[in-house]
Amino acid sequence: MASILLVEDHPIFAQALQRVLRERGQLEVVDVAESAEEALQKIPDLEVDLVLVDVSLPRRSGISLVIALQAKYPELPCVMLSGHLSQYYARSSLAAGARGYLVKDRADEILEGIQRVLQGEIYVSEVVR
Amino acid sequence: MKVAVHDKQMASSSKKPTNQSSAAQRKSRKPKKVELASSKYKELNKVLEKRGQTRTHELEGSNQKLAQARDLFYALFDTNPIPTVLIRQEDEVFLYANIEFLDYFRLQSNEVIGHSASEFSLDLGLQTSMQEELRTQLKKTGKVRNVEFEIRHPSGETRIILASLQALVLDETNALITTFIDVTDRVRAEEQSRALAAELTAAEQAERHRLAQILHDDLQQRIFAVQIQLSFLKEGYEKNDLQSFRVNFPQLEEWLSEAIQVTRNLSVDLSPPILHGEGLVEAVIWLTSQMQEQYGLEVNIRSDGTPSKIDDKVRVLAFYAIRELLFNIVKHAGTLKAEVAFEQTDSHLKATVRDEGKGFDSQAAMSNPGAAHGLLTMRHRLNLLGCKMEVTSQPGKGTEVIIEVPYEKVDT
Repeated sequence: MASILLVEDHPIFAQALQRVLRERGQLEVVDVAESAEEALQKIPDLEVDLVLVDVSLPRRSGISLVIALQAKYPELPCVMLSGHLSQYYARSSLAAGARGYLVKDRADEILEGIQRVLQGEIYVSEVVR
Repeated sequence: MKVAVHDKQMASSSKKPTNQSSAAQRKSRKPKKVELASSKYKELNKVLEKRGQTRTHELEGSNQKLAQARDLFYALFDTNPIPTVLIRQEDEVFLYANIEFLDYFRLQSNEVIGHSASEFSLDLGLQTSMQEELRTQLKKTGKVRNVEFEIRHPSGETRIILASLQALVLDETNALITTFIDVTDRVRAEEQSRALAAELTAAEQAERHRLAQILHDDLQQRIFAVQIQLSFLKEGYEKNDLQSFRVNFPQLEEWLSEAIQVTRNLSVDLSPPILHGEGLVEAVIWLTSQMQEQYGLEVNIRSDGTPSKIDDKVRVLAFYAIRELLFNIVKHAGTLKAEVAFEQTDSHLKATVRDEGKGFDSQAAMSNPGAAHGLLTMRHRLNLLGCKMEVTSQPGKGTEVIIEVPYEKVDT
């Protein structure tokens, strides 16, 4: 079972997503950070295969977090998660070093996208390609 | 020869009378000629006299017209209701100033006429660059129209005037007629309107941001969570195995209920239904019940119950002002108890919002836009619609805000 750090500041969505990942994707969310700062603080103590990052975070954006993570952990795959159906955000995320861009209201694609990124691919949700 | 003599005689005899008659003629002609010359001279003299008289009349007429024109010029100068002054161009000495000019600069006529501005401490405070610009334009076109600049008024205040200057020749003197109106109040009102427009735009943007946050951070996330739960149901249904894809229905219901509540609050926030049709007091009673539900704020309402008709725009603005004041109590006062009192005066409905919380130095805060931006903007908006707002607060002694709203009495 792959382990994930979820960076998401909306607790209800984080709770729902954790259950989907665990029960339908065999993916374990080992910790949840509610901000970029919290994620950067937690990650040195965690062993994770992937970081799932919400684009919109308080104070510092998810894209800025990906840039920071890639600078420090270039091998750690980061996947963006967003409510925005925007090609601009998708392109900016990939340019920052993210390996995927997933849209929040597509549970099936979230599972598929994470699996594909874990296999070394880059995955962008169909609606923003 | 005889003949000749005769002829000579004849000739001489014929000449003599001739000579005699021409002498007589000459005799009679000489006085005639003088008479004729004298009469012609008289005639000419008459003509010349007449012409002279005509010219004199014309000159007198012209002088009279000139005098009339001059009188009219000075009459217009004097009766002109705006400050006007006539200045000699070469040395900028004041030739004439009307009473409005003298009053505006608090000067006497003898202090001004015959003196230049620098002599009687009328320092207009014009920048050198501005003076140069005016001179250049005057040289070029002979006039300057509607130029706006700041001057230092004898009161010490900086005032803004809108001036026009016109070059003219008066009694062979190159002069400059300058007239102006004080537009300080208008310019400041325009500046205030622009500042208010900017504030309103900022407030509108802040409100849009707040709404976007509610939609994105709250409502959208709940709906996403519900949708993810439904994906379990869908998969179970497609695989005909609903048992293994357990859906947490109570949680699903809770999230949906919360989402519905968010939309309800949002709708009420955007435009409270009670504002359309009810009076200000009734709307505030409803507001306080909302504030108690959402924030636990207990508000005691007192009203003398006199019905009043308040203009819709004023009522809505007063309602939002009271709402903001109650929010301020929740956020800053350190107490969850407040009072709103409504009283009628002859022409106003007086709403007092009071708390016994932490308080603040209202005198200092209200003179500092950085410290009481929200309250100052609120007061400005209320003033624009004919309302008044007064804030009284001291650290440790609570806060009292009085809003006076104009109203029409309704017969009961």
